[in-house]
Amino acid sequence: MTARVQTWHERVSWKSIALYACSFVVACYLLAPFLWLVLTSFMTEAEARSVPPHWIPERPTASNYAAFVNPSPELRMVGSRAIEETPRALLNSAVVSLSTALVNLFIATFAAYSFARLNFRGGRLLLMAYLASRMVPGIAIIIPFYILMRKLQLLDTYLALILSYSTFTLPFTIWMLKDYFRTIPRDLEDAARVDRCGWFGMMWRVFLPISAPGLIAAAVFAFMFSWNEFLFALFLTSTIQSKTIPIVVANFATDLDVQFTFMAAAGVLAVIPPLALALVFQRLIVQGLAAGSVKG
Amino acid sequence: MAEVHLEHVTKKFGSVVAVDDLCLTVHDGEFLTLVGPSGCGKSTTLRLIAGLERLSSGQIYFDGQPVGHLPANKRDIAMVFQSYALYPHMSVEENIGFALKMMGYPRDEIRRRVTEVASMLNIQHLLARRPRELSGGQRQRVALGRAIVRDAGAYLLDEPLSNLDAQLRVTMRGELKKLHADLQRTFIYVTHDQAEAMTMSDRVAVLNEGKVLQCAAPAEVYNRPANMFVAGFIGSPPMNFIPGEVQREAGMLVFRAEGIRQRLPLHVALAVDGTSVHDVVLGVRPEDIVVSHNPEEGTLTATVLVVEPMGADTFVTLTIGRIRCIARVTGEFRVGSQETLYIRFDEAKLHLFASDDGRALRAERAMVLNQQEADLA
Ligand SMILES: Nc1ncnc2c1ncn2[C@@H]1O[C@H](COP(=O)(O)OP(=O)(O)OP(=O)(O)O)[C@@H](O)[C@H]1O
Ligand SMILES: [Mg+2]
Repeated sequence: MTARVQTWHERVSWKSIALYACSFVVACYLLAPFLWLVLTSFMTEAEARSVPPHWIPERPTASNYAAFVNPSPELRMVGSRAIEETPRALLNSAVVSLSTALVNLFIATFAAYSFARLNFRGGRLLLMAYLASRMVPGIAIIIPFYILMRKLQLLDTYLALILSYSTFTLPFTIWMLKDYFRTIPRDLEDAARVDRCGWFGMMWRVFLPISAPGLIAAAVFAFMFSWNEFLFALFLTSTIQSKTIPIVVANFATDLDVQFTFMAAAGVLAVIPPLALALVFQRLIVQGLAAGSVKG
Repeated sequence: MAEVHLEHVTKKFGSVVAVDDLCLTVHDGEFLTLVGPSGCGKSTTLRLIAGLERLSSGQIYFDGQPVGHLPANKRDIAMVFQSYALYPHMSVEENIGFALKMMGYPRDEIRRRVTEVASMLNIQHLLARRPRELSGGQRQRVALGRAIVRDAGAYLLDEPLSNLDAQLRVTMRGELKKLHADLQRTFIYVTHDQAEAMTMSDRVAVLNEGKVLQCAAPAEVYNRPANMFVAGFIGSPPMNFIPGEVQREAGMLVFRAEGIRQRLPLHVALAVDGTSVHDVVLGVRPEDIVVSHNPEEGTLTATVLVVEPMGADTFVTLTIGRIRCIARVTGEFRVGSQETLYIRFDEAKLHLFASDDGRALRAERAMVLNQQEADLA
């Protein structure tokens, strides 16, 4: 390739300026509510309610966060004990979301491998059925789920949430992983077999390590879904034994009152885990690990 | 260590028959090459031997033991894949040592062997790299290393040199041959490259459409091809084919085509005599066309179309009437296009094929010798 001196207007074209401007507008639109949330969480309740509203806290305070760690007796009662319950709700969410992610990894890996590699009768039909099952809105099946969980005496347990979230996420993760597995060259499996691996050895030492980006993406998806889910958690949980963070955050807004600053602080806490996950894994997810293994 | 025997092996992918009732014996310690056009079933044959595809029918034996039911990891084979199939998440060193690790070799033994193989393949400076940081040729050498680092009963190599540059390929050809001589193991080698097939192998098996057309020593395949396909496939530039018919003139069998009359030599005539063969194809290798600037008794007149100097040799494309042939002459032979040349065919090296099924019409050597003795007597 020959090097060519570019003039500035060749490099900075109108097209790229327009593109940047658009990206900027979209970014503002997406980030503004989040920014408002973060800033409000550092305000006092009075400042948050002041009219006209403003963005930057005049006297920033971390007291909203401190309240979660050690709430004073009168704060305990705020928003049907929401402040008191926030730390435990975060824990519940973490347990439920991580478990759902693990259940997804385990089941979806086997299922997706079968769909990707084995040509079995009814395979396509089954895949379509999975997809169709996701077309049913949650609100339509919440009552059967509630009755089912009550019969199984699972109401207000982690298991009820993990089971129901897994049924929603698995169809997606199986599809995702099936497509990912299909991009992995078959020769790699064969090479491992020739190199004296049994099927499980091949999966463990070659196939799954190479699939890591796909597996992580699937796990992150299942985690995020479970972390954000509201409707089913509302029905299936009743006490802080199993209440997840979206339920508790919603409690800040009671019939009588809304606690904006605490709600914002709890919201920020609720956002941190998924945000951290996305930041940590985005490189891995995007990176094509399989590059360079086979020719062409 | 292993004699590999394929008995009526068939592999179908749906309606595609990739390997068709194939019978083949690869002797212990032999270097056998499979050649054939793209899609003829070479890779599938290797994969069947390796245990990576299930047989549709037939059986494969290693040293007389049927292995059709054994998965790849239970067969004593090492393989180089056409696509390299290097493990992307492992370094070159780990790639090469992987099988040894799986077989439970101690760590320093693995290291010793990997280093040895790496220096042989000239990749010792790459051991710490990942496959994606290697060039195509380097990847290919790693893939080769992964196979030869092991002691296996049979080594299956699927076009292991195809991506190397010409010079490295010649070097590696020599290395592989030496390796085979040292190891004395069974090598089954797939290639597109005729030079590789001819120089390296003890025997060459020519495949087409999933069938073995001929399996013999390289010289035999070249000099006595069993049919038109083999004759046309082996040799570069390919053999010239001239369709025509056999006629009997004054008690002598002759080949006739437009503008060509060629007496049939004994080894061909004996095979045709007394049969009803009429429509035939005459086969002449480019080097068996003798060219001259001057007409002589029995020469044909040809016009030069294209001259391609290759260095030591020159390829000359000629037309004899409407028939086109390629002749290989020495590099010193001076000729320009549109010139007229006088040619004749080297009779002893003529090939004749039946038009209907392409089989070679050639008498057994013993038969030819007997006849010659009878003529002398
Ligand atoms: N997994 C498969 N499914 C369906 N058809 C296949 C499969 N593998 C091979 N074939 C078909 O079988 C035939 C033989 O293929 P094979 O890969 O053995 O050819 P090859 O001789 O190795 O060709 P090449 O020189 O191009 O590597 C081809 O027609 C191919 O399309
Ligand atoms: Mg092939």
